[in-house]
Amino acid sequence: MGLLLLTFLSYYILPKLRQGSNAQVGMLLVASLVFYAYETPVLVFLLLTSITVNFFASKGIVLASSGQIGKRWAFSVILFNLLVLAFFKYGKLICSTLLPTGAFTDQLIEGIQNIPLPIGISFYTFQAISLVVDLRRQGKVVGGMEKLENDFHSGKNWTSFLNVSFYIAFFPQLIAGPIVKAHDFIKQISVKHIGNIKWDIVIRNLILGYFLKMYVADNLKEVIVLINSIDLMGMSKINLLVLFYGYSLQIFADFAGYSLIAIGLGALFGYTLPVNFNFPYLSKSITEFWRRWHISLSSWLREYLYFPLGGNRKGAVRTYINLMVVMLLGGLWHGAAWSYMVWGGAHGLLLALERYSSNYTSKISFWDSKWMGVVKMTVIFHLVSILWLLFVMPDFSKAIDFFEAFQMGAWLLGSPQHLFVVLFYGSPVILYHFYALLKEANHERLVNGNMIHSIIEPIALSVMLFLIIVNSGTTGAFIYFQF
Amino acid sequence: MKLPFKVILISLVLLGAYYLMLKVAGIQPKTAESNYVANQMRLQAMEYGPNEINIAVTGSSLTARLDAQELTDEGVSLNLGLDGSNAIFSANELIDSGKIPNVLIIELNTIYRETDKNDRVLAEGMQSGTHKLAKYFTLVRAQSRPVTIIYSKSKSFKDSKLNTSLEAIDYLNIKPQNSYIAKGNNGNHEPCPELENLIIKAQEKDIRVVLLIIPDGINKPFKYGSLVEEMISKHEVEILDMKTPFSDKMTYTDGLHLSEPSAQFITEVIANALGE
Repeated sequence: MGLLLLTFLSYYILPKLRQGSNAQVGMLLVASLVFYAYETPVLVFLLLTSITVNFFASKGIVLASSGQIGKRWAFSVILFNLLVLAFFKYGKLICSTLLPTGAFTDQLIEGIQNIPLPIGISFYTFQAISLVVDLRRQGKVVGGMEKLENDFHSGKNWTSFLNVSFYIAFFPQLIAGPIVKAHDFIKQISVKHIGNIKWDIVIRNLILGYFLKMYVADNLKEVIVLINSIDLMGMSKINLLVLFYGYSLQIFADFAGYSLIAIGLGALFGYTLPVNFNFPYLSKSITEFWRRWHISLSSWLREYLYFPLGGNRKGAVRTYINLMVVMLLGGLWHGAAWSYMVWGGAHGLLLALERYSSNYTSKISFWDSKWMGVVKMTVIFHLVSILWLLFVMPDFSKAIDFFEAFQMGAWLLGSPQHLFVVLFYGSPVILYHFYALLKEANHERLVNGNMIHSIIEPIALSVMLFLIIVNSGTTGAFIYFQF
Repeated sequence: MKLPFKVILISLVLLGAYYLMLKVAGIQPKTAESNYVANQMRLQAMEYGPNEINIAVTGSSLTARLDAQELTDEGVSLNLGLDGSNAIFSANELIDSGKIPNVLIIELNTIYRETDKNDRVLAEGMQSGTHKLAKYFTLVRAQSRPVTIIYSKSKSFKDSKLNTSLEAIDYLNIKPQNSYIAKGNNGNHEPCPELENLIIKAQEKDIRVVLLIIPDGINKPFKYGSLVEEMISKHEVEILDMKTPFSDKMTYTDGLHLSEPSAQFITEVIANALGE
């Protein structure tokens, strides 16, 4: 908090002392590196290495004398980024899968296990890939990179280095997103003035974000943690359902909360970060779910993986294959365990099924009726929630235990304490979605203040702030930090 | 007026009104919706409460149900029964904090429970910024949480329906004993150096140590009788066995923990037993 306040004050004093954006960018970069190094200082060297390599590759792409050389630069640095990610995140999984069992493999796995997983590596690696791809595509597909290109061309190495570093390491989104695309962010880099801060947007995002994290997710965590720590056999069906629904509410509140905090902090420093959640549990299809959940990841995967693979332009079979590849890799992006791949694969399969069946469902007259919409929402919510079990219990046997326990359990209330916690702390997430359903709202309208009456809004935000102060749960790491 | 100012103003009004309401109504939750909050509530009562303590009860969620304020008419009494923990952690925290009670009650039912992770989380929690802030701002203490208060009140209401005819039970002759005959095991028990060290530490500070066996709804004799025998013979501590005479007369919320009326009754028995 102290670091944030100091950074904020110095950040807005700097333009009065020095011209140009370099001083402000440099100041935020230093603050971001200090923030990143806070827990495990040594990891900052890996981040700096990634920044440096991507900077030189970016320069190589922009200044390449021929398209072929630029292509080589881009290919090499993407490979470098993926290899670093694979080593730190998937080393253990790769060794245990590909190498023969034996003392050497065991030693190697043990050695890899002792290396700490660099926090946020999945996020900043994807941002780095976005940078080189956007520079490579410049003039063909995307705009927004002209500023960086011009700096490279005019030999402003220091400015371009600062901008590349700042884009990769900007602290609000460094650890768990939203994943920012280079062409959306680099064009925003300029001198920022305190008078231009959109305080309404800052306060809406920060209060709602902290409320979802500290009041909802952190309090739900106290009960949901039991799903992995106690013997599920012998629990009643209602108790298991309480944990099942509770986790769906917790993971939303935790991750959406973090994203809103990041967006609020970004706005505090004059930067617009992309919306990451748009009432995902109102989705009427899996396709829609992925347009509402972790939007920055699904949009990244679509733009940098699905489209380059051919998207839906190369026939039906290739479209299904592309969908499966993207979702399998998207699943694996979340963690080095087969369960994440199965999770992604299941989502891919559902997407493919949906695509295939849409030829038939579009002919059903009541398919798009209001009540059918409610049925679809309920079905999608339950499908998504069942698949979340692979998130909370990455060990397959544990997930199977859950279903066996459910089959064997009695229809008894079990612990009313658990039900109370999930009802009380989960209800804001349910109300949040219901309100949006009634108002036919989206997240843009919510944060721009067009969704709630001007008298009700400050009262609602104040009640949230009140509950953050007097009723927060135990501080815990964000679920998505592990990814 | 801009949105941020409105929000700050309304929040300050809400906080002020809530503070006054708690002050005037004197509401204090007895239980909490989660183990962590319940434990935080008890540890904060210890840390931010007065230094002079007459009776301190230490143990697990089994003892956490006892109404500490009713244990003595003289001075302050504390309940440090911690959910998911045992007496070792809370008793050590108490003595190390320099708050020396006249009587230290140590619950034995859960004395062998492995508590590493739970205790680590609790210890870390006591170092957190919120916990430190709670020293100066009572509104951020666990006992002020509105949801905790609602939970505690609704649980009290539900428990009150479990009342039994406890008035008819005679308990006036129940007193702490200096001897104990084990029934539950054959004389073998795992060593418990943590308990022994705790007893020695307490006795060095002239604290009267009373071991407690609390009714736990388990329809079997107390398991660690030989441990009690050993502690009495080695350290001359006293034992209060509430399980043998009362276990089948109590009601339990989940088959294990005393209901509020039963916990109230056991509190009265302990208060009478410890009274001069």
